[in-house]
Amino acid sequence: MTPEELNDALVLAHQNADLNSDSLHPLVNLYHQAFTLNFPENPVAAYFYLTNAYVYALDSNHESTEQLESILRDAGRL
Amino acid sequence: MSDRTIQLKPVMNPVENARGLPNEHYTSDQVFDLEKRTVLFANWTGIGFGKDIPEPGDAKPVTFLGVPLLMVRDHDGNVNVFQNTCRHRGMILVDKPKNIKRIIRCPYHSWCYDLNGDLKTTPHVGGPGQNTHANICPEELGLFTIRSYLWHDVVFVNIDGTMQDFEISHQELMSRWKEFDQPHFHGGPESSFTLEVNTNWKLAVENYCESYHLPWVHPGLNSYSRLEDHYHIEQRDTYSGQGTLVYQQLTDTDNNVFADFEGLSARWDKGAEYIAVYPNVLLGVHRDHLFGIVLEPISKDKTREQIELYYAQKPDDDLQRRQHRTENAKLWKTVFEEDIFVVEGMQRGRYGEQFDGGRFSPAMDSPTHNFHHWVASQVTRGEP
Ligand code: FES
Ligand SMILES: [Fe+2]
Repeated sequence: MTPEELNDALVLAHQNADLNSDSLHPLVNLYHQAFTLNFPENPVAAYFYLTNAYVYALDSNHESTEQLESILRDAGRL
Repeated sequence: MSDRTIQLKPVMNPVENARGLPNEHYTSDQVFDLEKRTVLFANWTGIGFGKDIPEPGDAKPVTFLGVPLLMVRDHDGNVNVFQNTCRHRGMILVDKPKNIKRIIRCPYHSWCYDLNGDLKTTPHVGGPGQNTHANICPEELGLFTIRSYLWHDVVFVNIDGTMQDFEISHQELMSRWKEFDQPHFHGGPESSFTLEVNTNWKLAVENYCESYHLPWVHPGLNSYSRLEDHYHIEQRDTYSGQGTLVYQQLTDTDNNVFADFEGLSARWDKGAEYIAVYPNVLLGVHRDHLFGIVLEPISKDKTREQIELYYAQKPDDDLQRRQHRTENAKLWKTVFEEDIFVVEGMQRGRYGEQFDGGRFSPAMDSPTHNFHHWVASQVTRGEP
């Protein structure tokens, strides 16, 4: 995915997010991808995206929650 | 003595020569507001039912007298009540009933709280991707917890936090009805209804706790439940109501009755009791079902009543049993609807300026007087 495609996918995923927590799972995955795309070249953007992935993972109790949490913690971001 | 103490002195008299609360307790926005703070926020007040959040993680926002509250069932099955306000910029946290998987996420800047109200994470609080800040101490920024207690599935809260524990405040009633401290199961969608009534919330309490009106307002009930089969229930400062000695179980088309609660003593064979738990919760207990009513004061002359019925056995899909429960709910709905014209009529009557609170029948009205006495004592608490 190019950064532009990722951005469009994120906008769409935000539009589709509702009270059903499964609807947040695409956001977790897309933000995680955005992290990968930016790390390590742009750590500010990377951890910004990873934080968002973590928050939506927490909200939806996504299976990656603990993993995301430990990356953020190890990086001194939590 | 303060003006209010002088004005309410006749309300505090013994029932023989007491007067009812003055009109302004029903018709004035200022007094509604005074009672909101001194009566409804300062006591153990009903805001809803546990059955509305049956599963762990279920959350239901409730705006009670303007205060945004959030009822949440945690993973151990306990009900917690929080102020539904984010500690960051004061955003409403949960707008609609939902199931919370793990955290309550504020929709504004995504601060996240766990089901115990603890602040779990503060995204970007220290700048993009920096989720901590030296000046933001999560331990100090948990959700405001509202003291709460679940009894007979009613969620009681003490909004101003000044009351003694529920179990102390309502010790007497809890022991009176100890036999009913056992599992009870909500009867399902048909066992739930709400009524919107154009009356002050207190008139709904007052009408509920007296039996004097039964022959005139509930002639159907009266055919088996005569006035002389009723007794008054009065406990100073906490509750009042009425009991009957001739409760008849509702039978279905095959003459089946509902299952009894377990181990009840003989007094409940034909006995039933209806008690107003001050300020705003009305409860009824019978050998085979219970009901709870939470009165939500909307304004000085508008009240919403939420009514829920419970049984000794978990409801199943059996059509006949379901119809039986529906029949029972209908019966109660009829009774409560029969009361609407009187509580609305008493409300309108209180705009008659000469009305002086009214005189009680010393023989029949003492449960109502007990309530008035309590309300008067609450609004003058701390006044000379
Ligand atoms: S107001 Fe809730 S996170 Fe900002
Ligand atoms: Fe009635």
